[in-house]
Amino acid sequence: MIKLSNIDRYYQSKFQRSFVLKAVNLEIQQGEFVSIMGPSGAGKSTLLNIIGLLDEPSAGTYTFLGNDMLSLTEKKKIEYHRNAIGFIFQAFHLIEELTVYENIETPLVYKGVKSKERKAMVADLLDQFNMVAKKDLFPSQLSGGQQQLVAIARAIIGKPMLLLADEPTGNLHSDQGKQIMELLSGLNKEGMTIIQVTHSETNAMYGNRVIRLVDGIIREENVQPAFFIQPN
Amino acid sequence: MKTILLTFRKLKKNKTAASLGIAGLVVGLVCVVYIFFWVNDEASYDRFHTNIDRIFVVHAYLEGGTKKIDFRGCPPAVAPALKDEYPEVENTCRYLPGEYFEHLVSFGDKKSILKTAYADVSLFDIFSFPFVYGNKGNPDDPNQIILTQTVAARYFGDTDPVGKIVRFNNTTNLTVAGVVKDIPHNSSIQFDAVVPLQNLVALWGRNDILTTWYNNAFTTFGLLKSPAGFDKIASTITRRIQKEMPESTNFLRAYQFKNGYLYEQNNIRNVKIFSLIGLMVLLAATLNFINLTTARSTKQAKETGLRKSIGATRGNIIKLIYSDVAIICLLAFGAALLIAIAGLPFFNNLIGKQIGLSSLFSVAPLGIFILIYLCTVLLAGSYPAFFLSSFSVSETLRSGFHSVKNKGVLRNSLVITIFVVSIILFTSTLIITKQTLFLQKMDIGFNKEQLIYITLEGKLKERVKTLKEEIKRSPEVTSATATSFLPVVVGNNGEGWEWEGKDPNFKPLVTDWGTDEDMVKTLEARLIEGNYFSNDRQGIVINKAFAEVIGWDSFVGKTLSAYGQSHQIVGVIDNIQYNSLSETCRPMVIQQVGDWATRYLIIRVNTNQFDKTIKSISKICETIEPDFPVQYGFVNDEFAKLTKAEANLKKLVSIFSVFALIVLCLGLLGVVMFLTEQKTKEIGVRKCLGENVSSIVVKLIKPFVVSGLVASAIAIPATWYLMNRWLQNYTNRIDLDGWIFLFSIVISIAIAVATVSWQSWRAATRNPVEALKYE
Repeated sequence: MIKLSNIDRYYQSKFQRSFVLKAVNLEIQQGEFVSIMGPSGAGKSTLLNIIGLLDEPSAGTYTFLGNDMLSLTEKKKIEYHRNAIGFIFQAFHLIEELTVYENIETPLVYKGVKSKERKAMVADLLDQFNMVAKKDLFPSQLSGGQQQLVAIARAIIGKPMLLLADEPTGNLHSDQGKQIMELLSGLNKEGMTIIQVTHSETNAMYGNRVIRLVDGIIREENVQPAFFIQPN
Repeated sequence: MKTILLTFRKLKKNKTAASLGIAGLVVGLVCVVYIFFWVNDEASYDRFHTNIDRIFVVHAYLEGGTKKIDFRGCPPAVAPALKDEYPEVENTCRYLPGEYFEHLVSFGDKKSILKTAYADVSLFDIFSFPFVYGNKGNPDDPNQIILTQTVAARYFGDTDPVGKIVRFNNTTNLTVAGVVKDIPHNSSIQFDAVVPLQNLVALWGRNDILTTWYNNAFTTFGLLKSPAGFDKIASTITRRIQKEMPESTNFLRAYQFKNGYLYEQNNIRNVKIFSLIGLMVLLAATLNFINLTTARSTKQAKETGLRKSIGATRGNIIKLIYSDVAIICLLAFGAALLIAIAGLPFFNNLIGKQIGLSSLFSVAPLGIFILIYLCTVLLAGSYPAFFLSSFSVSETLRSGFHSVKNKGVLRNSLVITIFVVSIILFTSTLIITKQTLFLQKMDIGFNKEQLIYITLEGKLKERVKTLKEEIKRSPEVTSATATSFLPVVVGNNGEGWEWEGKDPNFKPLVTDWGTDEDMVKTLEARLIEGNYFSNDRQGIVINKAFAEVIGWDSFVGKTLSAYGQSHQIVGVIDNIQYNSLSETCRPMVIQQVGDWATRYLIIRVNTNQFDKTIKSISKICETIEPDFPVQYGFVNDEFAKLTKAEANLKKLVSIFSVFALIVLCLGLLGVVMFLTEQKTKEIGVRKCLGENVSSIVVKLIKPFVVSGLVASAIAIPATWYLMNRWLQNYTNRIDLDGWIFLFSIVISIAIAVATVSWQSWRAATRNPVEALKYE
């Protein structure tokens, strides 16, 4: 589904280029659950952002479902954000002035889904996430884990093929983290392709493939057969 | 609906910043609304006449003296000539303003002094003064009077007075021909009553008074058949008087009546000044609003980034921010309008206008108001909308993102702009105040304090000598003098003075003032040469300005002539400033006042207990002339009227500069709150490293002082330029010295420092542990 070849991302200063990513080659198939690991500053988030069309590489090629993603117009990119790619973040990034319900609904508004349909879709998802009672609360009234649940709901309501998660459990304590990871794992089993950035070996185990990034270079890849996954 | 809800939630979240920004905006807008009221009122002058586009005015000007002199009117023969000679002219009217003539009008025992205009009754054909009762009457009958509604009610209550006979000036009987609706305050033609022009013949005792080609007293209006006819009149009227009198240096000029108030009387100058002030305050308030809304831009940028990541277009974002701003501005405009309307009586009282709301709720003002709203929204939303939507998404969503770094320059420039506006207004206030005080305290050639005057009517005029003797007997009265005019407003002048060695083409306009022999003593005027005239020393006295025009070394004993009569000069008097304080004094001749020309008795008293003195004076007047109510006043008050325009300007500018200073303070407060919050951590670290409180406070305050200084560097030249232009209207003027500028800069910066000190102090004295814990 995703094919990155020779991706470079660097910042040009006066005398030298400082590379964030260097010659990254990566292929991800539909239905995979990939964990990107590595020390701080290794370029994990940058890689994720490039895949998610929030950032552009300095060199290289990137195709998504066979389409070249580097020559997209702004308009096309927005189309991908609306229909194909969902994001969740370490800091949740919920809109504070919107209720749980409204947060989840927002992508649908941008997508142009009709009000009635939106209502049904949000209600479904709230139900699925056991959050019906909380739909009128504001993010600040929720625990971290609940906030991340809302964020995930918001990310998947548009039924994206690809979910990108940047340290989704980084701000959560382990119980909540576990809950989130199980949810992601479940989504993956239903067919959603997920790429997560994580520091935690445990969380990486939920995926079926680990990519280790050091100083912008992929050092190691190991593909684990799914049956090896034994959380805890 | 959803957006409104969202906006309110946001406001609730950022109470302080938002309320400071909105408060600033409201204050600025209230100021703008008042300026708008004022400008709208000025611009509405005389616009209520339906024929406004077809009315023109002809007035005369003199050339041949030291400088060109404009008159409000022209000779009475001009109006009939216009009607005869120009087919474009449908009607004409000669008019002597109601402000000039105060006459007793009585009906039974009801007496009242009315501002009476003398006019051709065509006045009511040309102008829109609708009749409540009756009509303009018979144009050939001089014995009629037209009253305004309020005045008529004073005599007749609510009944129709047409046909009733009133006693005019205690000499003639006039029939009430009609009653017109009260004249709007924004009319440059004002009167209580109008009597036909023919009555002037009796008043002035001259038969040719309405047919002469002399005498520029008659304001002359013309009504055109179509507005297009104006150009022909304007271009051909100039030398009309010379057709009758080739040697005259009195020329004619025509202007359109609709331009009269704003352009001919130069009221447009203040309209321009205030529109500029309004724009500046609005700009400051809007910038302040932008500044405070973008103070939370880090958060907003994150939200923007996120919205983009879930599929919002840049257009979506811009729309969101604009609707946000539009809602807040709508709130602010609503609040400002309400506050302004609530404060309108106070404002009216302060500036001496009667601005009503009805003038506001018509198409043009509302349109302009909506336009101002749209501009404000456009301006206030522009920065957040384009700045915030320009960030790259991945950048904003990174933890530790701060949009603030690149905002320093912008914030500083916003603060500086608000500072500049405040300093300009504040300095201008000081300068205008100083100039006004200068005019009010200027040496006017006599002592205007403790002078009471009585207007002489009926028998008071005939028996003025008896009156004077009687009044002088009371111990509070030092002295008294009978005059033709009050010294502050002398309305009689003419050419025709000749002297030995005068260039025959040089025809200066000389004011003619009549007094009795006690003028110098009563007014405490100063003689420069010779003596004042008296019963055994007949002759004329000239003022210093005239002496300078003539240019001799000594004057006493020499003669001047006018219209074939020669007059011996007995003395030269120091200039008495009259008619206008802004110009240098004009030439004047003072003669013994003739009985018929005596209009005032000026009395110097030696007490400030005026009530008692006036009571005893009134008693004396009433015994001599029981038919007329006693009319008195203070020379001081008449004098104050000369600086009314300046005093009003001073009031308005000071109100508006206070508004600007409030906006500045609110803005600075918002900025400093934001900055201290941002720097909490830095302050904590600095304190841990041993920096003391005062040094931290200084660090926090310093940028504001620097901004203030930079702003001064911009504001001073701007103010200097503006105020210098304003002062050019005055011959008697103050110099712009550095002290005023220095003073206003120090004050502005001091206010700024005072505003930010408290917050800075609080931030600096906070427990460093608390500060470092904060994240």
